[in-house]
Amino acid sequence: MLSFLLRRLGASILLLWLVLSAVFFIVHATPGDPSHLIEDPRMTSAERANLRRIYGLDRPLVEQYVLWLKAAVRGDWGISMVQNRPVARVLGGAILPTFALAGSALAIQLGVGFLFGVAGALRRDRPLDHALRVLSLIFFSLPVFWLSLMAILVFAVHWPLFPAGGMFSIGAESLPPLARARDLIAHLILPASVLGLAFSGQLARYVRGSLLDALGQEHIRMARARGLSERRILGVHALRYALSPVIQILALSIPALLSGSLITEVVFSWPGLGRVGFDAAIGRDYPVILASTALAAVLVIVFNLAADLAHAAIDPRVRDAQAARATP
Amino acid sequence: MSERQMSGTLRVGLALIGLIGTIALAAPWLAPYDPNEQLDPAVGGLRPPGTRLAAVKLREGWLLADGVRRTPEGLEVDRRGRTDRLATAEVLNLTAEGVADSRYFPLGSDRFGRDLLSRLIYGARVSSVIALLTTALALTLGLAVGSLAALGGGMLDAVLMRTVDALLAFPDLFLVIALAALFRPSDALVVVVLVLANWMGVARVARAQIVTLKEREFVLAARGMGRGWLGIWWDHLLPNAFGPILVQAALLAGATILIEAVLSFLGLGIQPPRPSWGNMIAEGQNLLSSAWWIATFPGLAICVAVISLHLVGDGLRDRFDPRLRTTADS
Repeated sequence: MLSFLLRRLGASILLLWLVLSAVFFIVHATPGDPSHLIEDPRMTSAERANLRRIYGLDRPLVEQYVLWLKAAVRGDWGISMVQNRPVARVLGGAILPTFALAGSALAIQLGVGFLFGVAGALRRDRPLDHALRVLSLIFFSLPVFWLSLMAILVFAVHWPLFPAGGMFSIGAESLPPLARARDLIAHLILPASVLGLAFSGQLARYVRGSLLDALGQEHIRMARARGLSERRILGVHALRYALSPVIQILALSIPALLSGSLITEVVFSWPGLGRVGFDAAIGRDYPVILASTALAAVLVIVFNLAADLAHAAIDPRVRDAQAARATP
Repeated sequence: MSERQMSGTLRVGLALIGLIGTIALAAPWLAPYDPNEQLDPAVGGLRPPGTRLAAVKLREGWLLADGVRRTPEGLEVDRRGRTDRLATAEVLNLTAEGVADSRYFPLGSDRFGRDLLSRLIYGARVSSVIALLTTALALTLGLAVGSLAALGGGMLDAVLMRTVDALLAFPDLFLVIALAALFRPSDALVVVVLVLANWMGVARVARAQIVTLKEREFVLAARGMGRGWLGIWWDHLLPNAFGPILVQAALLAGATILIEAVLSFLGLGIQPPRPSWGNMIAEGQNLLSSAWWIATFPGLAICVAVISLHLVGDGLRDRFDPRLRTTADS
């Protein structure tokens, strides 16, 4: 198990390095050299050369790359060219908001996805099943940014139940902790629901499919023959069998969840990683582009490893296969 | 149900796609007005769906009006609550009751008084062309890489497929936006970025298909008869792997439409004034409280397009994967 994890980690670090190198060279190969951001037409050429030297832009590209990589490994991601703050601090402030948003969305996704999937499988080919399948297909096909706008239109503009954007109201810093938490939750409900619902459609389809698959298996027929109640068969035997493919799908959907979080953050002005990455891309703040891309990749790697562990914990076949692969 | 009969899912999906394709092809004939025509933004702008305005033709252009009344001296026009008087000689399309022309906005008008329905219809062109082009290119690239991995085997297979896995495990929007923002926006850039973000799924499916197919007896027989891999690939492997790849292509086209819309929405894709569903939603974003229709209708169009592609994907999967038909049929 441990050697399996180590190998996965090794492959992931290799991936991270590849992606970062690609982004680094793309950023530096684009027409607008990043130095234009720090330059000013009123500067003398000596001042300009000095600035380029400070940012290391006067060195050969390969040397810049090696220097940047060395610093990045030490955790020094440079200084944001737009915000004039260390990149680590810019991103550090964005991680928690993204976790709050993506985490709540994941909870909603799991709740709705399993509810729809299990209900559909139980009432297979009845009207409820058909209705849930259509609904899942619609959720699955909706553009997240448009759903966000529609949620704002209905629940913030037409019926002003929730704030239309941001993470806290103005002046929330001075509120007592409980009121602040309530303020945060009010801001969180719309974006998290949009993101969670949009992703629940696909999950519901998989839960339903793999549950029906499970119900057709030998051991379920055995359980029926032994006279177990239908609820126990579904809740214990079939669901456990069905969980394995569902966890795989969840792990595979984490990159998409982060992408979805980016667009939701942009529409709802949520100060998370996606918003920071987007602003950096628009403003060509290239140290921040590189770092936010890297951070997104790291998050995916961490969650994939967690999913692998959960998968092995639930499904003994995976455990055995991993052990078998690890021994030679 | 016979083998050749299409499932309801597939039929509905194909019909909807056919409809969107027809609208895209026949846009110049279907659209009531030129999608970029701005007659009289001051009066024609931000009108809700179903608004009809009288169009008064003057020598120097058009005037729009909520209502017109014929008077002995000429014409009285109501323009957003203000009444103007025009002399008979000034108005070129005068009739006994008022004026001969009008403008009707079935889905409302945008900030510049452009007809939303016409823009929506022309937007279908952009989405269709981009989706078609991207899907074709991503399919080609994915097929090439997948086939190369499956037939090459060994080290080549490992390197190619680990790269595919790596790219699949990456939050693509971060990369797509970085790429799109760094270069000057253009249609070619949109296509390139979308292809780069979408070819991996096809590669995976193609490899999985060909790896199993190439051990089958009919392939071994062809090998035994001295045929090269290229010929076998074209004659035997590709046609047999076609079904699952087609399913993947339908899903890919749906994803393409969604990402193109996101890019255009963020201002990194199709550039205004050319209408695309994504940039129309962007134009409506800041007018959400005063003109809900601008952002709403293009989003519905995207939903219909993507849903129909997903229906086709589902229908094709049922058709090509008999295991699913008997057990899960989802």
